[in-house]
Amino acid sequence: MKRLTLILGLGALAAVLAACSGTSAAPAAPAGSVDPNAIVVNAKDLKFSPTEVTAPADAPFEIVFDNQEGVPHNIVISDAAGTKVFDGEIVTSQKVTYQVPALAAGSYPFICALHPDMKGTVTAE
Amino acid sequence: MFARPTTLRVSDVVIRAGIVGLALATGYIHSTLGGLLFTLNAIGYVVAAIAMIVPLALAVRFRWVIRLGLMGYAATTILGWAIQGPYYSTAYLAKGIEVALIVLVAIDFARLDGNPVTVVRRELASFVALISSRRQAGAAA
Repeated sequence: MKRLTLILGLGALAAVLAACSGTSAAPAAPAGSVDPNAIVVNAKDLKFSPTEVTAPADAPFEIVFDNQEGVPHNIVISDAAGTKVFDGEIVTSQKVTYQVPALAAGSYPFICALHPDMKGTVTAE
Repeated sequence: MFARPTTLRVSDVVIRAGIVGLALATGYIHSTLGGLLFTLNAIGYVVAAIAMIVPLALAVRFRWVIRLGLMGYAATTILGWAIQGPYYSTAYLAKGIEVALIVLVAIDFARLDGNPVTVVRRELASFVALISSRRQAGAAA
């Protein structure tokens, strides 16, 4: 029983340590030297503002994401088929700049990964 | 209403304190995430932590159900996250805590209740016996 307890305890510790490593989202830069044409999206009260933004088609662009509350948020952009085309780093009470890859002309819904009810649309044109 | 004092060993108390601490830790993390689902999840962990230590006779009698429920609750939370994400540092920390929580509750269960299959069988048998005795009493009246 003692050995089982020890093994289970070590397993749990290993799981905790393994779990504390790395993230998969695109890293965001602190909002410093920002493209003046960058899109600005705010997050407050579990809502995006604005919810409709326009970006240039076929060219990378920046989104200045300002999370104005103490709840973690990010921006995840998907294509019409639901495939993720951009997954921004999750931030709390922080303003960051996302480097979004070029999007073909069209409409792309975006959400917060933690709060899928937070919705918006990027129109590339 | 309140249970009679039990003879818990020091190791039992340490494990129980660990369970309560881990449940409150993951509950706190979920409470900081905002939104209804995370808030309800946090409340669930707080209720489970209280249920693990409350000295009410009913809670003590059915602590095995609370243990199984807490393990299932944590496992469901991990499964839901594994399916939906998001995969970032705080989430990994919360899931690590939940894995450790499941392990500790399993140890607590094994030490105080024994084999879960045996416990469920025994409880089902006593439930069936209770129903039959009530039926017999009703027929005799």
